[in-house]
Amino acid sequence: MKGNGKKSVLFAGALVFAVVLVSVLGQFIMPCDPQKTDLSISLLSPNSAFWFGTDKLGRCIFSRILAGAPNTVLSAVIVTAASFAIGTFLGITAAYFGKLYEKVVMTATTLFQAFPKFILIVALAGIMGTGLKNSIIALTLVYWVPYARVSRSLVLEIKHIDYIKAAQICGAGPMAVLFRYILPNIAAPLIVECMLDIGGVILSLASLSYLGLGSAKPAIEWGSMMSEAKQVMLQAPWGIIFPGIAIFIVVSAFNYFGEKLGESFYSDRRKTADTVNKGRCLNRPEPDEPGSSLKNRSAKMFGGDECQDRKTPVK
Amino acid sequence: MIKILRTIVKTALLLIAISLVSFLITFLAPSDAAQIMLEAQGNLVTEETLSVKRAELGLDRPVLVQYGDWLGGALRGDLGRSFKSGKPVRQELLNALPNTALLTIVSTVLSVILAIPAAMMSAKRKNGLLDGALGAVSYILISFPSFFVSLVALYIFALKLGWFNVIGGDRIRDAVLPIGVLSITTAAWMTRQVRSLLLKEYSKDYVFACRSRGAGEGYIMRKHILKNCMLPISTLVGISFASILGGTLIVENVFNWSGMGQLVMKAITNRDYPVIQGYVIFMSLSLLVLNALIDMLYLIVDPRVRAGTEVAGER
Repeated sequence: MKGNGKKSVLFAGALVFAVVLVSVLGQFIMPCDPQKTDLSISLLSPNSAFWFGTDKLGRCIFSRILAGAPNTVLSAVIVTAASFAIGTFLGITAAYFGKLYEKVVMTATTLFQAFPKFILIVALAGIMGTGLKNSIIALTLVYWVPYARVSRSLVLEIKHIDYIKAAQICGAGPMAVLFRYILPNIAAPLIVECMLDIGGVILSLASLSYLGLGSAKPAIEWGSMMSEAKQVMLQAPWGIIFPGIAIFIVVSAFNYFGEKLGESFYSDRRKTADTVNKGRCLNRPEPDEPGSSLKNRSAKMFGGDECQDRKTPVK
Repeated sequence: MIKILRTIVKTALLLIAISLVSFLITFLAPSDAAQIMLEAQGNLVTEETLSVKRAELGLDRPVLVQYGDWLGGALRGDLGRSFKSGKPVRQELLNALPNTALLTIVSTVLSVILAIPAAMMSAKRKNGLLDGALGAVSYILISFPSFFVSLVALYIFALKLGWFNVIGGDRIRDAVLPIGVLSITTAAWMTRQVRSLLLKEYSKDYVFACRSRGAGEGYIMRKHILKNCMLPISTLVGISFASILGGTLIVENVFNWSGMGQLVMKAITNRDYPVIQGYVIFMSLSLLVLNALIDMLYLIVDPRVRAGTEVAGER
C-alpha cells in the first residue's frame, strides 16, 4: 500500500467513523427535545437558539436531525450487513457445492435483478406496511443479490487453488473450508462493495420515508422530515435543506471511503499481479491478508508457482 | 438466429418467474384481500363474513391454483380489478401510462445524450479541469437523494423564479422539471461509469497502435474506444432505464405528475393489491423488453457477440 493511498484511506475511514459516532451519540447532545412542539415558534429561520431553524410545529430541526440519525444510518448499516451475510452465504455455498443448489440460487438472483430495484423495494415495503422494520426487510430482500453473484464468482476463482485442496486433504469439512479459508480470501472486495452500498441504501431508505413508507409517524427520519417540510417549503426552505445536507454528508462519506478502499486495494493488486481486470468486484484479495499467506505457504508446500493461480480463468 | 430465439425464450421464462414473485408478494401483507374489501365497503368484519368473502374471491383454494388462475388472466391482459375503484387494473394502468412513458423515455434518451459526450470529454483529459468539474458535479448529484434534487429544483425554478407552475397547467411545460431532474441525476451516475469504461479501454495496446500511426485523439476516441465500449455502455443504458423507472415514483410525487407512480402510491395507501401487482409486472416487463431489445440489437450489430467471443468490459 502506497503511503499516500494509505493516508487517504485512513482519512476516509476516520470520516466514516466520525459520521457513525455522531449518529450514535448525537442524540445525547441535542440542544432541545426533538419532539417538543411549540406553535409560537413555528417556522423560525436559523438563529442562535435554533441553529437549523424550526419546522411547522415549532420543533428544533437541528435536534431532529441528530435524533433521526440513528434511524437512517444504523438501519442502513443493518440492511447492508444483513444483505452481506445472506448474499455471501448463498453465493459461496452455491459456488462450493454447485449442482442444483447453485442453479437455484443463481436463478433467484437473475430473477431479482429483472425487477427495477426501487420499484420492487417500494412494492415490498408498501405491501408489508409502514414501519422501519418493514423497510429494512424490503431493502434486504433486494440488496442481497449482488453479494451472492459477486461472492460466487470470487469463490469459483479460488476454489481450485492448492491451499484449498491442502485444507481439504487435511480433513477440513466444507464449512471450515468455506469460512476459514475461502471467506477471508474473498472478503476484501466484498467489504469494498458493502461500503459502496451503504450510501445507496441510505438514499433508498430516505426515499422510502419520503414517500411515506419508511418509519412510522412519531419516529424521526430524515426523509419523512423533508416530506413534512415540503408543504411549507416556500416559507421555510431550511426544513428541507438541512436534512438533505445531512444525508449528503453521510452518503458521500461512505461513498468516499468505499472508493478509496477500492482504489488502494486495486493499486495493491496492480503491483502484485497483472491480472485481467473484470470490473470492480471481481478482483482478488489483498496479498497481505492472513489467508493469502496461507495460500503462499501451501503453494510452496506443493511446489507450485505462487502466481500460477492468477491465470485461472475468471468465470 | 438461434441466439435471438434463445433470448426470447429466456425473456419469456423470466417473465413467468416475475409474475410468480409479483403474485406471491401480496402474501407478505398483514391482512388479506377479503378483509380489505370488506373494510373498504364498510362491512362488518367477522370470522363468518370473512370466510364467505374468501370463498367468493377464491382465496380458500391452494396458492398454486390461485396463481394459475391469475396468470391465465394476466396473459390475456386481465390483471384483475382494483379493490378500491372496482375498475379493471389494466385500464387504470393504461390511463396513467402515457404520462409516465413520456418521463421515462425522454429522460433515458436525454441522460444518454448528456452522459456520453461528458464522459468522453472527461476521459480525454483525465484529471484536467473539465474532468475535475464534471467529476465534482456528478459526485454531488449522486450523493443527494433524488427527491432532494427534485425539491430544490421545484423551489428554485417553480417557486422562486416562477418559470413553471407548481400545480398543473400546461402538460409539456410541466414535464420539463421532472424530466430535467431524472435525466440529470441519471446522467451524473452514467458519466462516471462510462468515463471509467473509456479509461480502461484507453490503456489497451491498440490505442497505442492507433496513436503511433498518427490518428488524432478525437478520432481514436470516437471511432475506436467508444465503439469498443458500446456493449458495456448498452448494459448501463438498461440499468439507467431501471433506475429512471424507480425515479418516476419520486419525481411524480414531488412534481405532482399524475402517472403510474402516483397511481401505485395511492394503491399502497389503500392496500389495493391488484394495482400494485399489475404495476410491478408492467414495470418489470418494460425493463425486460428493453434489455432483450438491447441484447438482440447487439447480436445483429456486433460480430463479436454473434461469434460468442469475449468482449471488452463484459461482466
